[in-house]
Amino acid sequence: MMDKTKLSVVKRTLAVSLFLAILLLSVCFLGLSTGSTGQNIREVFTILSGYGDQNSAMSTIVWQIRFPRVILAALVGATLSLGGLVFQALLRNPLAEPYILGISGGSAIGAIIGILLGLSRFSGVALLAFGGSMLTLAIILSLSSKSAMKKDSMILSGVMVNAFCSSIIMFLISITRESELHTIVFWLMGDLSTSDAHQTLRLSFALIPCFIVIFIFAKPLNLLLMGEEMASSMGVNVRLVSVVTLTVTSFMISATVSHSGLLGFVGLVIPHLLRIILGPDHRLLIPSCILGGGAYLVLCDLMARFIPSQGEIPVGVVTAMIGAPLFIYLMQRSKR
Amino acid sequence: MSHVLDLKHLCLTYGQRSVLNDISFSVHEREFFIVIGPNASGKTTLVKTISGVVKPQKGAIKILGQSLSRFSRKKLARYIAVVPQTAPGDIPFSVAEVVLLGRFPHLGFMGLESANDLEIAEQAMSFTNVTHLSTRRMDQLSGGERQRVLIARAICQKPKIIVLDEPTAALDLSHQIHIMDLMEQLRCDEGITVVMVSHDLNLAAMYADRMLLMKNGSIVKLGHPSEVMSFEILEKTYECVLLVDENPLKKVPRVIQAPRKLRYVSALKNDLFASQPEK
Amino acid sequence: MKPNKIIYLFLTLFLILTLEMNGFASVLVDQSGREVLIPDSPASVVSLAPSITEIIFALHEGSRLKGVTQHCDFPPAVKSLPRIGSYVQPDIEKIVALKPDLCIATKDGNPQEVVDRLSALNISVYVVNPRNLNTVMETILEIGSLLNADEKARLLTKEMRSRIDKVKLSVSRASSRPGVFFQIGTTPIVSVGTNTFIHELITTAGGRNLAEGNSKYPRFSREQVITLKPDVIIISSMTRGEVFEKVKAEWNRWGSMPAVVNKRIFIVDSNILDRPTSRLVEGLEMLVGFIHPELK
Repeated sequence: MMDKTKLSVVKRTLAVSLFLAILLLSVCFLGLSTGSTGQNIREVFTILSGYGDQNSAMSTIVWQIRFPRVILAALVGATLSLGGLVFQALLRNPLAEPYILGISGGSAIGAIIGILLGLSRFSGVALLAFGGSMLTLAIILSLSSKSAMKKDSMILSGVMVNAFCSSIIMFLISITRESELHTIVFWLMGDLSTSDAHQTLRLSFALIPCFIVIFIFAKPLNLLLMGEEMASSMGVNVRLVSVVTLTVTSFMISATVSHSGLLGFVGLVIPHLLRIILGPDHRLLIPSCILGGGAYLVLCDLMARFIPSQGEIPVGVVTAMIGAPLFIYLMQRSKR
Repeated sequence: MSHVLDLKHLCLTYGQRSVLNDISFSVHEREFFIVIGPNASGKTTLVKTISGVVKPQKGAIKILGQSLSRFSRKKLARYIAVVPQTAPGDIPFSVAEVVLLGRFPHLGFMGLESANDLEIAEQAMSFTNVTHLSTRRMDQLSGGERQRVLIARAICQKPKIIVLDEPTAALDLSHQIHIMDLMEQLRCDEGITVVMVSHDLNLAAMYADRMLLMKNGSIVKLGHPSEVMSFEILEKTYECVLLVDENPLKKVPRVIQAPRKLRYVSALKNDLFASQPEK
Repeated sequence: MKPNKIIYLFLTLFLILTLEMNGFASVLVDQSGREVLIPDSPASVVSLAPSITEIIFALHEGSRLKGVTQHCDFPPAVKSLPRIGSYVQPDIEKIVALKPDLCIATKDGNPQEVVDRLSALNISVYVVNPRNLNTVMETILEIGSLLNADEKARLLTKEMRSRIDKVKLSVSRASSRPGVFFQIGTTPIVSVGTNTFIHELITTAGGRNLAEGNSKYPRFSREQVITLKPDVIIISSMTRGEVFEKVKAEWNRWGSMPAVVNKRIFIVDSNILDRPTSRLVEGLEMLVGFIHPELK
């Protein structure tokens, strides 16, 4: 029994990752073949395979408009799910999520100031967003406790910081000129439409090393589920693990927030969903969150582009619209 | 006998309160060493200091002659395993997974277990008799089962010293004796030094090679159970009325509390009742 | 030396190729200072703002328009044209699919990111930036020249200028400069500052803009407006009728204001006054009617 469950961790991880990777790729393909100008799977397939006229408008649309958008959705989904997973493990609290803890809110303030100052999305806005998220993280950490991280006080101070951030955001919105208002409001609801190939590429260069770093900490995160003290006595440098993963996660979150705006529920729903299906082992959960979270957001974005006949709805609306009922359903089911 | 654990002049204060006050003692190899004392005497803090979770403000701890500050967390976990007083109630892993986590300090970069690690885990599980529970989740176990799983996990760390903080506190009689027997067996078969915090003086007296009695962060008495558990020392330390006689199984003292309604038993001590506040 | 030569060779080749693809083309500097490759007589144009759509139709070049924003509603002929989303958030994919020779955007209305993104996709975007009556006329002339309609543009601006001059002449005879409170938002109350078309139109029409100041769209509380004692209140709204009646009724409760005493509360179609098009002149003439009824 034991040999079967344990020796196969590598095999299970590979199998689940392969399945989710195929899922992600198919959803991405759907995303590439669907858009406001209609759906043409065969034509997209020809374009993707490198045949066909590379100068046609369809080729431009697929490669330069839908492709960066789909990749951005996958990256953002992966980052938010992974962020949620890390926060939930570190704080041993199922509600922990960058969005709820105010990390997203903090980077949103930075990002909005960046947008108001007219900075470019990557580097300019992203740096301010990173500053904002690190500041909120520092505030939450110092509020909760100076020596050790007390999980409940951390959640509580996180919620307070988040409320404060929200009011600052509302303040910034209320003093914003009308022409920028629409951009900011759309961005706050989560918006993937402004992605271009160049920025998405740079973002992926920033994010993929972060994914790897967090994967390296998979085993210590498992031990942290035994409680901080026990993890510590079992050989985990709790402080190092917490500081590194929290910083890396905040960096990832702010890099994506500056591109995609505030997207709730991805970071909450995906880790919980995967945990219910796959169990608590982070060596399995981390790759699954990256691939599954990516697939979820690509799918949500697909719906955001597909459902309305005029224009499109912000993807943040879709993630919460699907995410909230799903979460409630899961919670009810696990209670039984 | 060589010292596996050396504590010299340990001091620790939380704010104004002195939790550990100039604590010095040594633990020998293969020793069954039990720390006793009233509530808030600093026993748990002492355990946390030994396992490196809490850093003392003054003093030095040596493990096998090496200073504790020179151990990395992982290296320390290969020498000392801790069974805490309380474990989180919501550990999401199965029994087998928890026990196997004990191999962490011996694993490499990505923490992948080898067949050897699985073997060790299986042995630890059969040693504490939890093999039949291996697929159960931690939150589905009884208190005794949980304690045995956490001990199996500690054994899995293959430590030189195992430190337990009141492992029998929440258990019934048969589970208590089972845990204590396990520790004794571990000490004899594996040569592991056992350091334990206990509230059960009689159980402690039957197993301990030496006992350490603490109060208010200071050492009251260190030595063989018969030296430590004398009537005078215990009654003074615990500040309550006690009777001490001899355990019929072993030449060690046995303690009985004297309830107020049975005062006539100790009618001779009227003066004490009058002067001592009862805790 | 050598790499340089190769680069030049490639550049020349590239230039020839691009010229080949676009027929004849020339590089122009638009009003935001960007260099834009403009094909001669672009056959398919996408307008990214209602004002640009109006100007193009006013120049009788509507047949070149292949896409407009969902806010474009004038002239009625615009209804049959494909929509490319809002001007703040246009659907880039639709624009690319329309394969336009040229997009025309406004610096104020369209976000810089949209312009950058379209240019990155090799779509020529010409950005106009009309800030006052003079630059509106310049913009009309520029769009005219982009679309090979120089003559029509010249006639259009000439007519605008003569009508403006006429207004100025008649206003110069007026004895007073009534204070105007121009309300563009109902909740909160928002007016227009010095750096706006409407301010220019109010002053040209012989009024005083009571909200003048550095802030472009200043906010007011009700009591601030009452203290300003406006002679005329003009409410600009996209939705007529009920909303207007409500706002008007609200102001009418404050009998201390001259505007209420003299029954000079008006509503105007915001499109005539805040879109930088040739219709601004109509708006100007209408304002003169509100501010100086005695001149008629």
